[in-house]
Amino acid sequence: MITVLAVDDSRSLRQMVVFSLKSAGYQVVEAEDGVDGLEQAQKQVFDVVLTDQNMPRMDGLTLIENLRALPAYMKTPILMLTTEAGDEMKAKGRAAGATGWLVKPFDPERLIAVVNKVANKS
Amino acid sequence: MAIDISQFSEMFFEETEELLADLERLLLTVDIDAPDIEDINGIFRIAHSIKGGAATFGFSDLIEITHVLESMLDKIRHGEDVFTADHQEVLLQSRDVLKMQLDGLRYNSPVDVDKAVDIKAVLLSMIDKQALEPAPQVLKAEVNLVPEVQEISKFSKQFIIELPEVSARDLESLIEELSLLGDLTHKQEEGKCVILDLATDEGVDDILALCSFVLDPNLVKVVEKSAGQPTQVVEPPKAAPTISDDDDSFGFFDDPEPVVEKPVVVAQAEPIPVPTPPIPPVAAKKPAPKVEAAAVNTDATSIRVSVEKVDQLINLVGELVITHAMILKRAEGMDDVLYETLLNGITQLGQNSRDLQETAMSMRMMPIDVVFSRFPRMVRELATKLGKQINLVTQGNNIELDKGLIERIIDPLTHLVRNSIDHGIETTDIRLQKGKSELGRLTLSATHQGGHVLIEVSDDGAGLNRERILKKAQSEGIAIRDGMTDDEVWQLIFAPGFSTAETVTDLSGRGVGMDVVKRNINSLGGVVNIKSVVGVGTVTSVSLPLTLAIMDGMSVKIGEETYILPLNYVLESFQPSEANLKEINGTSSLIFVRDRYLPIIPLHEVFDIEARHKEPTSGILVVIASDDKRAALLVDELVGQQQIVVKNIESNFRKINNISGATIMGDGKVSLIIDVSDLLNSQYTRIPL
Repeated sequence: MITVLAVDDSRSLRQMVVFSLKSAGYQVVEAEDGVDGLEQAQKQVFDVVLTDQNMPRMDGLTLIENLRALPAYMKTPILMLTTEAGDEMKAKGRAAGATGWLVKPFDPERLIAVVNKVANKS
Repeated sequence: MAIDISQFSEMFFEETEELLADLERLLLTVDIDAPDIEDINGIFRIAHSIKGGAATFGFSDLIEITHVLESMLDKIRHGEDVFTADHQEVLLQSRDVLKMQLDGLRYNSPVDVDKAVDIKAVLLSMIDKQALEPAPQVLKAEVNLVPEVQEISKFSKQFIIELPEVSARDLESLIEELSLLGDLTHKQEEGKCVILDLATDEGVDDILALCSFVLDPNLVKVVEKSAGQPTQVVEPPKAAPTISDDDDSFGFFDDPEPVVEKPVVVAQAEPIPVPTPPIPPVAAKKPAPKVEAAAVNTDATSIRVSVEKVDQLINLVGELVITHAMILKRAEGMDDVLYETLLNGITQLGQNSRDLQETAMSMRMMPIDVVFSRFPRMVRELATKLGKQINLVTQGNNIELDKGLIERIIDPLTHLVRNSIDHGIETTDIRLQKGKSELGRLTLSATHQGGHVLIEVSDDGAGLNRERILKKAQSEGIAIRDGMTDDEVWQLIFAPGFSTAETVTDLSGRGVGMDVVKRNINSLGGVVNIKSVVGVGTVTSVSLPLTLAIMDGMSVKIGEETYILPLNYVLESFQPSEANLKEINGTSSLIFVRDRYLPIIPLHEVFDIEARHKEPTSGILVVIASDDKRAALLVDELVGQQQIVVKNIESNFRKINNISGATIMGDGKVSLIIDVSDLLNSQYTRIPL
């Protein structure tokens, strides 16, 4: 089973991500911010990581940078779920090592499709 | 596959409610002169989170304001604007509007649309409108955002095929041939190269063989993907909607290529460059300094359960406790030796059910902070209105109380706090004249005291004015006498219609209320007390039981009926002697106890039932007290004390005079619980003169 780490400080959004991905056959673990996400990622190696950008304690970009520094996550697909996808944010995401982005709001189908895409690639 | 996102709405509502409470707390604690950037970030994040959730779950009303708020806060957090008291004020107002909108969505409560329009206009006037990006649109469930649906690849291998420059005709025929092997996607063209994605069951040799019809196979690069990670191919996701690549709501970066590529065939002379991921910086940018954030962690290990479910559980556990009592009663008189294991089992069962009951009850408990957290905002606003400076301190925020009590203590407590601000703490001028610090101090504290929780509202204000209270009481026709103790004088405040405020303000109202406060607190089984010293301050203390669902009761018998008296109202019981009885008008009786005449309430008359003893001298008198009122209840017999599970009658039937609820006894019979305050305020305590 493909495991996905979903990092978002919003409980309701996390719930939706978890529900959607589970219904699509993924196994999902939640984390509520970057710090939590990094901890979870060290406990278990995930196949795909989804992260919000704006979170307390540690934001998404920092999380991605930290994950990329871990040998197990050098090549893992990491997607940013962000409300802004301007060139500046994209440049930052790229520099941090994100695989791609998904603009919020998104509907569950789109999320599944995007995750399918990166999961199948890997 | 359609996923109904409305199922997540409730979670969104709860979360937004919490975020709005956090917003208020942050706004009230932020230091206007030197705002902490973490606070500003926190405030920004709240607006951001609400907006994001609202957009996802389709609540466009909430987006309007949060979107503008976000823009405003973003500027502040990037140093393009300075946080001022104006910002604080308008943010607080925005919070209120958002709360109103949220409640409107959640409970269908009325929403003042003008307010929302107004606050948005104010917000817009505070920021450069040009800078505002268009607000995000909410998702509409019915719109199919997935343009095409493709079957997921059922093939075991994935290849990336890189072709050298070929003519369009050759490419077309190659694509046609390769398509026969499996799923082929024309991925991209880099310069003159063509890159194809192929999912197939065939091997590299087959692909190369096919290509050799059209071009030199030595120029073709074939790379198999994900061969080293079988787990990711074993169980493909069930649903596989696809997404069109011209959609800009998502995207992938190309250079930090995450795809694990394993070179299989290298038909070229030079080696293929294996993509190396960039080495990112290691350290986190921010060390995450805020303490509050750590508390959020508990969330991951807690679940949300509806109050109904918890109540149902408590009810069932209550039944279990009763069932145990019934078994215990049945087992009375059984031979200890013969039935040793059975009797031990019953004892064990009793212990377990009591533990279970305690655990179940604790699930209804909420920290008093839920109430306390409402006050900083209120205190700030009142103080500003009245030109006072007040520092609010809360203590014991983690003390837990039953949810039902929490909800019902809010109003009385609000009243007490208002009184302290309005009548207690002096204006800055007066405080300075009196040599006090200009900053008034208002403390809200909660502490455990036996089976009770003591909530205190204390201020360092003017204190109660004894003379003024007495004068006022007299003019209102409230009975006073010479030599009243301070405590007795303070109790006058609780008389209906009492007010000493010389100027009636719109804050504490017109003095009506302290009697209501007292009545509300009493109805919760609580007691309210005042201590005050002129010029030093006033402490109003409210003592509440931990829970309303369980109480200690004294069971008394009248004829064949058993009634329960809440134990905390019972002072003493005794058999009276003829000498201490006094008749008035031949109908009512008084009993002389501890230097005081108390009215005797014959319970058989109250409930209109047959009693064995109709004369006080042959029955038993139980003295009950609530507030300052006392009376002696005439009963036939005292049965005993026990913990009882209170069952509400009103919710199933209707309010019955002098009865506050019911319980099921150990023998399975129903007993009614006597409403002591009701009884003490009834006609039976009025002595006809």
